[in-house]
Amino acid sequence: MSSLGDLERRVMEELWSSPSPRSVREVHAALIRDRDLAYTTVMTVLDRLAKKGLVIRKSAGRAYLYSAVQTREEMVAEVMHDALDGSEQDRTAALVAFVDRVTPEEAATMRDALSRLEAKNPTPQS
Amino acid sequence: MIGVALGILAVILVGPGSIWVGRWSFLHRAPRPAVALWQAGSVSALLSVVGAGLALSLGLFHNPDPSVAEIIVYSLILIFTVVVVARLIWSLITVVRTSGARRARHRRAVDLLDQVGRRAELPGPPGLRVMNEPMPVAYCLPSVRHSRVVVSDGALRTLSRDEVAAVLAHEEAHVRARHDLVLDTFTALHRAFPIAVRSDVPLNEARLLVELLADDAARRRTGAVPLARALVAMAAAPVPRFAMGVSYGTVVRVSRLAEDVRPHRLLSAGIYLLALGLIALPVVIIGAPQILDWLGVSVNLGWF
Repeated sequence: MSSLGDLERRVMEELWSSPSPRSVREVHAALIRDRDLAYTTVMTVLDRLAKKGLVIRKSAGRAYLYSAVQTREEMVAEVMHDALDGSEQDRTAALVAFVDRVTPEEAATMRDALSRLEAKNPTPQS
Repeated sequence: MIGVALGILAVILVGPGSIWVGRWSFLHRAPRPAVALWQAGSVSALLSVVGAGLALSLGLFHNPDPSVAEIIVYSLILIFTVVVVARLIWSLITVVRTSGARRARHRRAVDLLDQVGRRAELPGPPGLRVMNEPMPVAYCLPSVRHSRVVVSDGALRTLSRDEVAAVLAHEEAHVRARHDLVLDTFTALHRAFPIAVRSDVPLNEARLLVELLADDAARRRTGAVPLARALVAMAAAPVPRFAMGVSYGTVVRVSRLAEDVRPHRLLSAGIYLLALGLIALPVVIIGAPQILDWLGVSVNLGWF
């Protein structure tokens, strides 16, 4: 991943892990624990994330406080919905999922086929 | 003659032809030539529709004294042709653009949500991302330079090590071969034809065939057993939160792995020949007057 993308992810993780909004200084302090980083870089990244609508900025006295627009769980749910949405219009357009879900009858047929295959290829169970 | 012949060809290709070929299960033995066959069939149908429309309206222009009925019928045909061509161009643009934008947005999200720690232990393809999601899920986001393969925590917990490797090999094959482009073009072609005269068979078959291609790639790397186990484990996982989509042959895929089908060289060659023949058909019909002329036969076929 590009270092910028990596940085954005770290900043988001920091905001997600915090129960209350964070200032640039706080986010910066948390990030320099594992790498050298300029204060202005963190500010730029937060600004970019705000422009993308991922982060919201509130002014509190002299400083700005940042928080994530969605919780991590909400964002995962949205991503999964986007990936697995059953609607015909979208499913081909964007993504190629590994499998489609099947009915119980189909699952039984599949298990039969699988046991035939396993019988032909005796391998130690993993 | 020519216009009518092309029209009949178009109707056969879109209607009974695609349904008939859709029943040829032996095509699943040779997915690569089969994709070519469906592409050839779609191109042939498109050529026939456009050719028929043009030839018929050309015939009308050459007719010094057309009846009112003729004018109405040929105008309708011409309008239909124009609609199909316009829709094709439009749907190509929108399919590519909307799916590109959607993938880019999705990619940004999975990059932010990636669990880097979990990824380190995986035999991952480049661009692998792990989502914190209990449901077993795997998919890919193909792109020119920023492809992603996404797996969920749930998948990593459900599957054994070699099964995970099989799933990743399958997704990597999709990404490498840009199967999304194959599907995008079939989607655009599908939408080009008005709903009343559209066949669902080519698009659905294309969806299945690219899965078979990726399965073959994964089987070569990890063997059939881990791949089949992964398919069964993931397809049967309950998905409470989502509407169930139509199943594009997950069952067919597992049975195929069990039968251990391999494409025979003759079968592949035959399918490729058939694909060539399909494209040649409308071309030969359009060029028929010229060809007959070369042969020294003088028959006036007429553009009708």
